Amino acid sequence: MSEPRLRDGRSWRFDAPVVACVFDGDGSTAFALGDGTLRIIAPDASEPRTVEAHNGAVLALAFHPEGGFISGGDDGRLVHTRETGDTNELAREKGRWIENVTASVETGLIAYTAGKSAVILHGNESTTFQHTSTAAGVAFDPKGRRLAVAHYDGSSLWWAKAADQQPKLLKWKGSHLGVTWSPDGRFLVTTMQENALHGWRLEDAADMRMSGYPAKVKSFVWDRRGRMLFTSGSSRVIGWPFSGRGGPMGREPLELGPERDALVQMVAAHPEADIIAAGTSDGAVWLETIGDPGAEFVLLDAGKISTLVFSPGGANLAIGTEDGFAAVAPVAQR
Amino acid sequence: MSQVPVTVLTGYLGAGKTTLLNRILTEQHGKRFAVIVNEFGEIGIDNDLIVDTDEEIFEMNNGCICCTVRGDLIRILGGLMKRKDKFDAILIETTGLADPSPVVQTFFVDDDVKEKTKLDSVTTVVDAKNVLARLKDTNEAAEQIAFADQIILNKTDLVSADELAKIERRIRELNPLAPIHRTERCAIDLDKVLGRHAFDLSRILDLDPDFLSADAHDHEHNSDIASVSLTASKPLDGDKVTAWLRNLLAQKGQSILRSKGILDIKNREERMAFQAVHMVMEGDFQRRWKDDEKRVSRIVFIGRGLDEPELRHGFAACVA
Repeated sequence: MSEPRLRDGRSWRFDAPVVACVFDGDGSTAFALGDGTLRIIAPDASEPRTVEAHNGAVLALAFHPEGGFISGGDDGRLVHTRETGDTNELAREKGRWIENVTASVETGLIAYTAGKSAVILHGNESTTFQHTSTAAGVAFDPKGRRLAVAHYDGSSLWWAKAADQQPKLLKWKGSHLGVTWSPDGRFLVTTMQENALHGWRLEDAADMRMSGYPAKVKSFVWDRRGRMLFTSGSSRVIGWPFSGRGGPMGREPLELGPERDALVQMVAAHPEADIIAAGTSDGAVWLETIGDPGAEFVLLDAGKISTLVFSPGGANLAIGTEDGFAAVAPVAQR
Repeated sequence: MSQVPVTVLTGYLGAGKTTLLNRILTEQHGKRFAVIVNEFGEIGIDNDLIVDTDEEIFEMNNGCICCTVRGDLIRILGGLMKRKDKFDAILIETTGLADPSPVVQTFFVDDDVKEKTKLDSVTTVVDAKNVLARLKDTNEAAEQIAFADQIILNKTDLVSADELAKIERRIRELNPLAPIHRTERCAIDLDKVLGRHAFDLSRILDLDPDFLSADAHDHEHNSDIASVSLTASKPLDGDKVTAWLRNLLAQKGQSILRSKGILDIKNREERMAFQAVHMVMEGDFQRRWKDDEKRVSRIVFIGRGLDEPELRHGFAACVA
């Protein structure tokens, strides 16, 4: 195996796959690993702090609205870890895996999935929403008041705080895995078991099918203006326009980045510039400005990229791989 | 990265799947397994991992009408691959009433599953005492036998030698290819159960034409699952036989459960091997024919309501 070549920045080699990475508001970075630990890197520290958060693998990671990180694991636990390394169990699902975690900055709500349930935590209380098949993905709407759950044959929309409700069901045949709301709240988009995305315009539940990918789409991200949805699943980054009323219907997707033999696995969007980052199946990470072709390579030969995320101000890019390589690379101003 | 081998354990209710799992898990073998089960029964756990799941069978919108997969398995296998501790093998126990196709197809349809894991065999546990009755009153028992790459014929101590011979004949009608291991209380060497490479094209068992032609056609039973074996001693036209198989599986793949073959293609020094689960087929040129090897093409179809004359005719038309 060739050695990873990182252009600039700090890097670490862990002995378990990196599952996810999240920056919290204070500039700390957490890498979640397949050995159940979080490795937390303070802004100016060179060595990570290791926190034994789970007995098994970490499966999901998000920031905590009050600071620190929330992780879900195959031990059925949802854990809040602070930058100091203190941990606090938020929930426990016996015999089940917690595979998705998300939180809303707007309302401070936290949501996770375990089997067919999606659970919202507010303070010490929780509300559980049941589905007829596995809750494969969850996302809060931009205001943090509604939760979308992706499952078999569609998605369900739940009001975060209403008791005794029926969900609004958005139907489309097939297995829906990941889910995201457009930042203006007008569209909901899912990744599917097939090599396609599915979208709904929420005002009238009109269907939008986005297909043509050579591989399953595992990662998607909205650009900072919320007009384009950039995705993995092809040798280049594919971007779907969502600016008009019809979203991507009848419009050509944008293709970004170099044409290479490897597939794009993960995508990330710079929060303050028109820059998209992509991580590939052969361990490369590149940056490209939207509308200005010419990729800048940040990393090569690191193994399949499993997580990729910009820091809140966009000054850094965190990278993790299936081989256990992790890095925080500075992003030059353009 | 090496792929983790996966063994699928099927068998009708009460056949002895859990007994077999317990034997595998408690034996001193120094291996680490992950076991995916549907009913969290009395399974011994040491350093192995048990994952409890609900079978979630999904249809794929890929134009293949019979293509169903296990969505829960895709997620669980993906999750297991994130763990630091790797597994020597993964065992999947299906429910007693399950049709084995969705679990098997999962390994051919999902790219992530294909990349990280590899189906080793479908192993079916059969209860010698009750199998003939189950074959009469259920469809699943016959399907599970027909799908098998190997059969563990259990509880042989509860039947006479004559009955056992009759049971084996009946199993052979449903599945002429799978080796049968006779056991009592599922006592069998682990090495015989695992590491079969049943789906490895380069190791597709050498289909024995003599054995196949001895295949008895005894239609006294009411299950309509049977096998058809075809051979050709003249070389085949590669394009014709590929097109024929593609069409056949596209049209009849719902009723053809499994097919396997080794083909002698005109102007090629390598054997072509293929195998299919319903409509999902994979095939490739493998090793060269050996000098002392008889160059004969052999195909076996196992399925429901197979039209033998039509299959024979279609195959014969592929001779170059």
